[in-house]
Amino acid sequence: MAAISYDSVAELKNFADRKHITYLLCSDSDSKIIRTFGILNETIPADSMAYGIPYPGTYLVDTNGKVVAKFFEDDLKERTPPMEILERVGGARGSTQATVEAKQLRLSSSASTNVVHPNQRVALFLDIDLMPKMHVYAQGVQGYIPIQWHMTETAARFYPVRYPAPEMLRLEVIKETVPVYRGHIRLGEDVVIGTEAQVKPRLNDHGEMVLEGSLHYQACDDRKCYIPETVPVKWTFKFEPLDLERVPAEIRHKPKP
Amino acid sequence: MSNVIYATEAHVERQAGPLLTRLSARLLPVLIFFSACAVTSAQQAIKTGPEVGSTLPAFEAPDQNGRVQNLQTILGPKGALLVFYRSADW
Repeated sequence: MAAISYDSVAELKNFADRKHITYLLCSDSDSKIIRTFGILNETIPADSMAYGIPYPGTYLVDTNGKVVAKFFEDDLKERTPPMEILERVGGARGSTQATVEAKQLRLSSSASTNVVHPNQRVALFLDIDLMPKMHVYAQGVQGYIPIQWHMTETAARFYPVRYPAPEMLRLEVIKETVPVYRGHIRLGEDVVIGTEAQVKPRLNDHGEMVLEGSLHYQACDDRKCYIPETVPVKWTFKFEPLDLERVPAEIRHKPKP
Repeated sequence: MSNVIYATEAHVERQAGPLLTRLSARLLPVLIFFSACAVTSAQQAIKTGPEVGSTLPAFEAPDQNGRVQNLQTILGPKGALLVFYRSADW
């Protein structure tokens, strides 16, 4: 992995030393690579200190340098979390937070990080293992209760839940074909942490941010359907304020004269 | 639900932590800046560079220790992630 920016080697060295970064930080101080890639942010005036920055994004390349996937966001503050990129392309999973044995299924919650900062976008995951022969209904089902994940935190904003593609199950007894999930499924949902002022009053006694919600579902097997269940789910994060420390003034970027 | 287990697979995320913190820092100036931009350049689409399936253009750049890197030196056994970000200092 390498991270590329328009910073000088001196700025990157200072930042890497301060943050104990061991991966590669590459200096594209004249924005030559950024221009070659065609991702120069042209909305920045040429006399601005920020002139030369790219539209931020990430490329995943194979060993031949071919682009396998890329991740760019319209909103630069809400970058796709690295763990979500790895999850999407390779099935990596974040840190496990908790495992819950519920009726007809087992739930395991995880997240792309254990530490959150104001305005950070974080990926939440729910891994669901259904008991043998059980199925739950997928979104869009008619006449049954679909599995639904709902979060309630007010000091955060939630993206829509990502549900996997369902399988179509033929129920011969009632002559119906319905979208269901069986076995193992993974649901994902991104959350954008609120501002420091929003989050601070919501922290628990340990200074942690707790995101709570619930999973609602009705499970059925080949003989009967069970009572609908609502299982509480939660994620606990260490909360850290924004990092506002900067490199010494003499090596900072200066606007072009 | 109190059995919080911290697994080790968040290695990459943990490494990238300081960078993310930096990326999300200094929100207010950014908001003001982009609000100002929005007035003059609303609807301007972002550019995302080389398409999926294409090969990256050749490049080289010094790293934080002054050693010159290129795609070949960055590549690991499975490929690489190239992250373009605004700056390490703003």
